[in-house]
Amino acid sequence: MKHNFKSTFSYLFISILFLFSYACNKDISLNPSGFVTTDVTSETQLSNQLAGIYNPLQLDAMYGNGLWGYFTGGNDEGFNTGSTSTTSVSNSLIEGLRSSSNDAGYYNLWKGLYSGIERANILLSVVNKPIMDERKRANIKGQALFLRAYYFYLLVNNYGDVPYKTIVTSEMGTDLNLAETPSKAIYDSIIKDMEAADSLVYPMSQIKTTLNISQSAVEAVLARVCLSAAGYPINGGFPYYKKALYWSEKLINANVHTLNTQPHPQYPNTPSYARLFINNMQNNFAENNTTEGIWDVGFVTNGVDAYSGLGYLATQKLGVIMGVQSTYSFTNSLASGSYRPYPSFYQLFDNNDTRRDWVMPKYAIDTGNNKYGIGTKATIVTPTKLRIKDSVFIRGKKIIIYDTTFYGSGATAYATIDYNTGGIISLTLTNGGRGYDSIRNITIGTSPGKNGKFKAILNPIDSSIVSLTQTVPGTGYVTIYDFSIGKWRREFELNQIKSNTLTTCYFPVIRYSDVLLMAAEADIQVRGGGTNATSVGLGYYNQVRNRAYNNTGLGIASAITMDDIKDERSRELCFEAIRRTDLKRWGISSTTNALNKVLNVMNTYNTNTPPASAILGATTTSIKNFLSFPQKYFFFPIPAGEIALDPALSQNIGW
Amino acid sequence: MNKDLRVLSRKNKFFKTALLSVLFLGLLTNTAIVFGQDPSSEIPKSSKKITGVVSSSVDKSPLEGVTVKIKGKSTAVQTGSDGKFTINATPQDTLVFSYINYTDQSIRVGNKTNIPVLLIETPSAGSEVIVIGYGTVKRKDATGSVGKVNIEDLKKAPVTSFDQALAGRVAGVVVSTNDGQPGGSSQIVIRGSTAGQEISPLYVIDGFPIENMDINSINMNDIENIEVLKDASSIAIYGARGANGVIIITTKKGKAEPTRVTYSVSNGSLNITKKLKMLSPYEFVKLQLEIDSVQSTGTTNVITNQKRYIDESQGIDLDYYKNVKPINWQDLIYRQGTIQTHNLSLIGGNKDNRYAINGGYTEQKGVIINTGLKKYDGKFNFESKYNDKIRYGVTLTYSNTGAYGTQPSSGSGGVVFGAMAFRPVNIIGAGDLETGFVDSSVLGTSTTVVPDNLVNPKQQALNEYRKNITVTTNLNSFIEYSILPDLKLKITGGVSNTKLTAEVFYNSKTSQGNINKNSSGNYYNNNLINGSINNTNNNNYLTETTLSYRKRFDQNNILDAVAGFSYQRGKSFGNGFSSYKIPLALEGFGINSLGAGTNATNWRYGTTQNQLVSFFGRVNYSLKERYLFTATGRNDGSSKFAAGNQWGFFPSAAFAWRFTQESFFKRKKSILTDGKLKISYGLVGNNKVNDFASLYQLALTSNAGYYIDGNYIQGSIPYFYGNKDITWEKTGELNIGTSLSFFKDRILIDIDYYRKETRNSLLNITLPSLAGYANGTNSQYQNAATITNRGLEFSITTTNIQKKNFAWTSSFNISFNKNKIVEFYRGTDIRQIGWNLYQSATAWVAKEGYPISQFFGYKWAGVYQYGDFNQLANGTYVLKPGIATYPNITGQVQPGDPKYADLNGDGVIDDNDRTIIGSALPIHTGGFSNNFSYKSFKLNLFFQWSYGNQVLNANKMVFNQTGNYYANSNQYAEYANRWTPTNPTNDIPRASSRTNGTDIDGNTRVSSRLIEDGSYLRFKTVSFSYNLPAKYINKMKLNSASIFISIQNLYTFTKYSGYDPEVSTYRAANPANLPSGVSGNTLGGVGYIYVQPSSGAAALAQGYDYVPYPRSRTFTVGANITF
Repeated sequence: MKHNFKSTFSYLFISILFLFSYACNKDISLNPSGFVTTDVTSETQLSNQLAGIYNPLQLDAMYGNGLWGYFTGGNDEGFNTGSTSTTSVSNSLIEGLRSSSNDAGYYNLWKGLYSGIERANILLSVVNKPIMDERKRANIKGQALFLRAYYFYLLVNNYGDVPYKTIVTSEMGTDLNLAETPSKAIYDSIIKDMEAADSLVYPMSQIKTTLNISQSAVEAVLARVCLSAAGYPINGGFPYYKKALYWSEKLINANVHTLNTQPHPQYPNTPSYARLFINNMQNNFAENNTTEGIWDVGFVTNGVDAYSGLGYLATQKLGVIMGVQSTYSFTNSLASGSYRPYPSFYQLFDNNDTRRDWVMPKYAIDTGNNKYGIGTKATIVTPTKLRIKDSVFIRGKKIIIYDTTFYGSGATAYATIDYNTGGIISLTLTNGGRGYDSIRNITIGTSPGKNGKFKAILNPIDSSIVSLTQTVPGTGYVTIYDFSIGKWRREFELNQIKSNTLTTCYFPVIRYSDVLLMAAEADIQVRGGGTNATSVGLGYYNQVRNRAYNNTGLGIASAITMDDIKDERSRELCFEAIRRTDLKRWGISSTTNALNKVLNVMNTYNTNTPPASAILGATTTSIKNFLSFPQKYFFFPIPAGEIALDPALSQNIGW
Repeated sequence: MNKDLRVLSRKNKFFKTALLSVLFLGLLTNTAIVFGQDPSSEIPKSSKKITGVVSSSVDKSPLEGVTVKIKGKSTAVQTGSDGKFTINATPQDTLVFSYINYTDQSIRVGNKTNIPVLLIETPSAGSEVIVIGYGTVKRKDATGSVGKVNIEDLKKAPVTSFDQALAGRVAGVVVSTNDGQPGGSSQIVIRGSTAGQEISPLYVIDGFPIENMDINSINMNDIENIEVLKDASSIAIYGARGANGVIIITTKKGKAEPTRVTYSVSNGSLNITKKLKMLSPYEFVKLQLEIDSVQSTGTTNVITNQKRYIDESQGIDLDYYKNVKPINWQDLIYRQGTIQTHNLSLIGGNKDNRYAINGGYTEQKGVIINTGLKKYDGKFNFESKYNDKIRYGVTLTYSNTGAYGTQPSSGSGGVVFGAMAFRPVNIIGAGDLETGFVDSSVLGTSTTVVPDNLVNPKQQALNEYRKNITVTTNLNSFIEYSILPDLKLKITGGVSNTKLTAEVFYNSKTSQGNINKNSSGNYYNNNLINGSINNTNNNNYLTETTLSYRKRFDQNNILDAVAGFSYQRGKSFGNGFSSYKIPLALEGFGINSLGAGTNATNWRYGTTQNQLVSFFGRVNYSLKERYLFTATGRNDGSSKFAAGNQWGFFPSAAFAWRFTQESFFKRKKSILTDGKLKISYGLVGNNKVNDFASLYQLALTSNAGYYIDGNYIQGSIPYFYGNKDITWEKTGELNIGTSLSFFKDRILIDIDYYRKETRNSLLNITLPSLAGYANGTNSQYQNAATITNRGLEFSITTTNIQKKNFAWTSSFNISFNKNKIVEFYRGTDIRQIGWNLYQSATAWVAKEGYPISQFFGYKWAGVYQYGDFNQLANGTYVLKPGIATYPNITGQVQPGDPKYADLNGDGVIDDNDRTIIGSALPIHTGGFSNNFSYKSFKLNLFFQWSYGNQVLNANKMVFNQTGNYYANSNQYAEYANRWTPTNPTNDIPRASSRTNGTDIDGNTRVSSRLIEDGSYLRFKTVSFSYNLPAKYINKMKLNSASIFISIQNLYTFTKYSGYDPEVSTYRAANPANLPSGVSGNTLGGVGYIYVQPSSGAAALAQGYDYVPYPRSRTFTVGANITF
């Protein structure tokens, strides 16, 4: 019995041990049926993966709003008046100088860029797997290489030193505590990848669209990247200017692109300068925009149109918050027109420059879809028996004077407004009306026109106004701050179903004028040209100038300096998401001076003519913040949440 | 007869139960029941030699050392190791067989010379059978720590599912229901939790392991036993998935007895236990006017609210409101609920074929209008003997639970919130609030959304349609083959299917479906009338083959071994769609109008699967009945991990010493009847991550699309971070315990100490965005933490009084658990969890060296008082230098503003001043149950408590502080005592206008002001029953009949100010509740096996109270009738 027990016991024990050891190495993985993993692809899937790489361009933090809008904080062109928030960067320029490293805007841009980079990393790791046409493969690979490099450019340009990550995350396991790579090394890698892409992607003549990356886009952006690397804070200098000149001239000499020198055929009364922007608003429908256009970011839906409900991103606010102010809600064509110019920017233009009134139209759209001069309605009574209601301005000049039932009606006058002070310079009576009483001195009590005084001479027969003389101009009429930025205008929108908050306007990342101006700048830096009337650089510059003056020759310069280039770039490329980059590469003092200039003017304006208190408060704090630590605002902060998750990162100066 | 008896007693549960009951009675009256032979036969008187073998009735093994004595004489012998005895006796003699733990047996010699004896074990507490994985063990032989639920007591609670009555029943098992939502299930934590999000135990229903159990699918009436495996030695047989503990539920089976039909019925009512006092009309209007004055400055005089409430011309001034009757919204949404249950069971069979049939119906109408639960279930069990060697059986269960109505804690449209927040008086000239749909005073503004508190909560509750229908079907079958008498082969196979249909429909009278327009002519709600249907279908297949061997080799050596193979596969798929802009004319069709939506193409689909392959074995070896050894091992392979990390080995060992069996102890007369010391150590595991957690996944999604070659196409983007290195979470657990029985089981004591260390704890870790997957789930499962739990459990069961007509028994248990985070991931030793009231605030922290679920926030330092300020010449107040204040404020801190401690002393109150301000974890929990019986009356009283836990009362953020959440919101009555210049209290800050996001209001700050003591003692269950006397029963030809009255949640002793201190309304975002994939036509994405709604509770974020479904007091009357 004992023996039996022992043997049974050991038999059982051994067999159990055997069972355990048997199974240990067998792979029992299952195949997922609902998704694919990052290490497989196919020819069709490569297209979808490529779409995924382009996709971040459409994000709100990128060309849906941020890059042309709230991240422009730190440039000298304009700002967003629509903000009442106190700290968020995504509300206005002014807030850019008040926000913290916790701000969602900085985080969303960072996140979007790195997601684009990882999508490209994944595509590049599998692009050689499918059996397919090699030219097509090269084109896909080239676009991925280029876009990854472009995203790194946006990172390094906006955040300074950042982690340079070109291996797929799936190869990194759980340790993602990456530290920053020096900016200069990142720039060199960007240039290397873009140069490689240039021979991989198709030329513009083949793809015939600005929505995808063509050789033109690669070369134009290469020039931009090289100029950035040449300037502050990388200070790469001559070799990079040389490269910038090489790539911009390569594109110019290829004769693929020219400036639009004729107005849009359907809108002959618009300047030639506007043609590309009208095309953008019309999704390049009438023209493929490849004459002057090089690379546009496309937007497919405004969230309510025929493409809504399919899950596509609907982000584009161009035309709405930056656009001609419109209260026409009948077809959902509202536009807050919150982006406004600084006075110094307005004054950069002269009267013959067709670009000024295109960028800053002096009208708005009312609830009946009519254009009217910009102004705010007010009822003013002083002395009590005569009412002047300046309810309608046309191009800032017209006042209608009317009354209530008791005090006359029908008088109309034009006013000439000083855009800087908001006061009336002179009045021209166009209709005397009738039934006014004999009181002749009019003082305007509230804004607009506060404290303005007029003398009215009446016709004793019908009590109409014979003439009006302004004695004190008053304040609060239209100023430059009241012009909305109208580079992209909703009135050209073709979309049948419009949205009050979004459009599908394309955004031009880079276009031919920029290439010409970059070439001119690089020419000055490399060949010292510009003062020489025969230099090629001056020729490039004058192409842009002449078109801006409607080919009248009035704009043509005989010599140029870097200062001319700086101003011209602002005049030509304003609000196209490039000004901040330009100011930075021209040096810290360039940025500081530009901002000092506009902020001080604004502060003065605020003090004299207090706008909504939130803006005043925001401005005051912003100015104080900026002046006390200008260097802080050179780069965006590394998002605080990201540092918390990746302790190897260090924060930028001042944040 | 003797043979039959043996067979029956071995195989027949009923017989055994009956026998035990009889014996038990016998024991109580100190009378031995004699299973005698027929004494009438003729017998010679001379002495003769009698031989025989004494064996145990349990396994027929021979018993050594049995005393065989002739009654009334001194002659006595003992059996040998083979159980044999030889004795000389006359036919008139009676032999008495006695053996420890066995009932004495007397047999008259008569004309027999060979007397085989089957000794029956004494039905003591020690002989109680405990179900452990793949087998059973007697309590006295158990080496591990297994808690057995007193199922009879549990069933006395009038609840709809067993978990609601489980709290306080078993030491070490902490059960907390999230709130009072009908059909909502509980969070069950066994011996402390780890940091992982999914902390619920493994359920084993009749041998079928289910990771994501639908607790509602079990009919309480059909439960035979519930056991909780607590220590590693017990759990290890379920190795891989048992780290959170195992709950084994055995349902009723057929019995070899005439068919017995039992019908139970109960009917009752539910009432809310508490309503919260809100401001009276007078105090409310006074507050609104005060908010006006707060907003007013020297130049602007705000009179928004004054215009709403005051019209002197009509004689409506502030005092007028003293006589206005408030609209009590709580009275309007709460009602008396009802509950009724019916259950019919048939149990019967013969010794070869047995069956059990059960059917139940439960209907509950919740205490909030238009909420409730309907449940149908059925079970069929059949077991049969094919021949002497082969047995087989099948069990089929079905349950259908439909829970409907608003879900207050799920966020928007919360009617519990609305009932507190909605204004108690009408606005002058704005129509009747009570009958209107929205608070018309806010329409016409340009707000984009109709705020939650502006929709009439009663209308919302009546019109919000949400229905979760869970249908669970199980089919289990087995065949058992006795290869040898000692060796059995058992093959089981089972299929389990859970189908969840979640229907949501928001008509135009809900905040989510309203069709109101603002003054700009835009809809507040672009979806308009909308709805959705989501289906999840979870299939689970299991097959197991076990070989069990049980042999008593001799007196001293008993071996009980089992070895087996198990294969389990889970497959899940989900689909669903949403529909928007449903025409108003069709909304009457409710959920059936979904097809008419203009956007009915928004569909979702997803599928996933996993498999688990396991080899396991256990050896129980008993030496001399006092040294008990258990060794267990399980080798599990899970497809959730990558090759190389799939297999985990989970061994355990236990040793127990029944010291009272030692001869030196036996010789003493002791009050200690039985005593055992036990120690065990083992490893158990956890693989609760999503099915393909090791794979880096791509998703094809529209919102990542772009133009390629002129067409806008979907983007294929990285969506889910895999982790190739991820593997089993392993918990090593040491258990040291003792089981003691005094005065022949009159007092039973169990004490256990345990120490669990969980290594490689599975955490879902947020990754930096530079990893590039931010469009999906920006987190990765990692083995990234070490957590320890140690604790002490103490249970005592006593028979206090045992008289003929009166008995009183008690059972008491208390458990202590201490939890500590030893290591946390990647050198980052801190993790904060946001809360769902305000995203920007964090409310919990997990930090190395501290327990999980610590509340994190600011220390409340009272209210800024006048003494903190200097008054300037122009009358304004400026803080005195050196008094800490907030950074970046546009205005100045004013007297009456909230003040928090500047812990780091830098003069600024900011994030750096946050600290641990409390803990949701209790110091101890327990239960105390008392049973009284007097003749046919029975009374059960059950108390349950939790001590030392705190609750984050987030309601106070909204209802005891203005200026932070919704405008116009009513407040708790206590808010009348806020700071005002004439009432400079330190408890409640001054009234404030709504200025979200500014620092002064301190609105998003989680502070110690919100932390309350959540200790409670609940008088949880009272049950009183009466068994009808036999004479009536016989007349009615019944077997038995009883009537009862039960009350649940009778009274709760607590200092907590909210509805109830047992609350946990935090829900982690749980993609598992959706079909995988996201709205917007995403294909692919995260593959999850369906996780029950209860799993949204997160271990790191416990004790959160924000507008829960209030708990109710249940009162029922019912009857049990057996035919």
